[in-house]
Amino acid sequence: MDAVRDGNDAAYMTLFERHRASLYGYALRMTRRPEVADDVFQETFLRVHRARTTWASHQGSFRSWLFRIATNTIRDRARQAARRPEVLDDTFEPSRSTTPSDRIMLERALAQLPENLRDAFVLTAVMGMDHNEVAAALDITPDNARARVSRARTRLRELLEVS
Amino acid sequence: MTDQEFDARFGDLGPIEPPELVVRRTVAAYQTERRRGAVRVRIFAVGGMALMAALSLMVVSGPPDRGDPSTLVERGSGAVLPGVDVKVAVRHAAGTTERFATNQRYAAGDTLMFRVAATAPADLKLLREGVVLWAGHVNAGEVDLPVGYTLEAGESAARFVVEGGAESITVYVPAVAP
Repeated sequence: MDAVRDGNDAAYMTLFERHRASLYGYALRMTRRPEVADDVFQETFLRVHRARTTWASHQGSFRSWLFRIATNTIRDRARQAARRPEVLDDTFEPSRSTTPSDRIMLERALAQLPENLRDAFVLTAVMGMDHNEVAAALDITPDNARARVSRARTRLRELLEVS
Repeated sequence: MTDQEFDARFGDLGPIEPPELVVRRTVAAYQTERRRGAVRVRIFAVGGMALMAALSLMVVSGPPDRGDPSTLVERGSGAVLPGVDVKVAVRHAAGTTERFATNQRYAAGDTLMFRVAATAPADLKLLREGVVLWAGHVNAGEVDLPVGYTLEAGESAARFVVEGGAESITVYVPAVAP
């Protein structure tokens, strides 16, 4: 990231390649609209470039900083649209070890979570972040991150039992 | 099931690769911004001299004319639109599959499946009554879309549309100042 801050193209592209799929997965699960996720994806990486000189390692990992920018971009887009995303797309490709129907069921359950639980849970369970990283990405405390994930898990268990 | 095992189920969902076109567009936007930044630095460097020259010549230029084509921002590559053909099949709840027919009524639980053939790489969207069911990039040739639509009891007639182009063209307008 230090090289990116100095304007190194190759370093920027390395970060882009490393994080593009996880960022797109997050954007798609949070917005649930491919065309919006496309825009969020592009805008987030442009904001990373524009804000590169403000990044400092003591603020946390690059990944948490990236997802914080993404979260802000998603919130900006939601405000611009003046409404919450509503459409659930069953468009995700099958993953390695879950069957398509399992996958759709899990994605549907995720989609039913309120945004402030979904973001924390997706970052934790799907993206593999720890509570400190989630806290940095969402600009909340680690305790708050832990509580949100716990509430999300409880809600998801209920949803999956019903389905 | 422990919390760890429960989370692991979702962990299997994993990242999602963005469509190739979105990747290309993002990289292009980054490069454009990089070039613009470099130009801006040069402008600052010669800014003082240019200002002095402008003042000495007392040149006053007005705003560009409205509708001046040179002020329009071009998006997209001007690529030729691909030809797209769509075929629909119906998979019955019993597991059999047959060709779709518009003069037939289908039952709840039957699933519509879509196969497209594109003459060139294309960005496609499948919509049902204006709602996007799937969007993604396909290569030239025939491909089954990775989405089906399962009919539900009492569902009214609906129009499915496949929209496509060589690329999606996005014009992003940032938030307007209050």
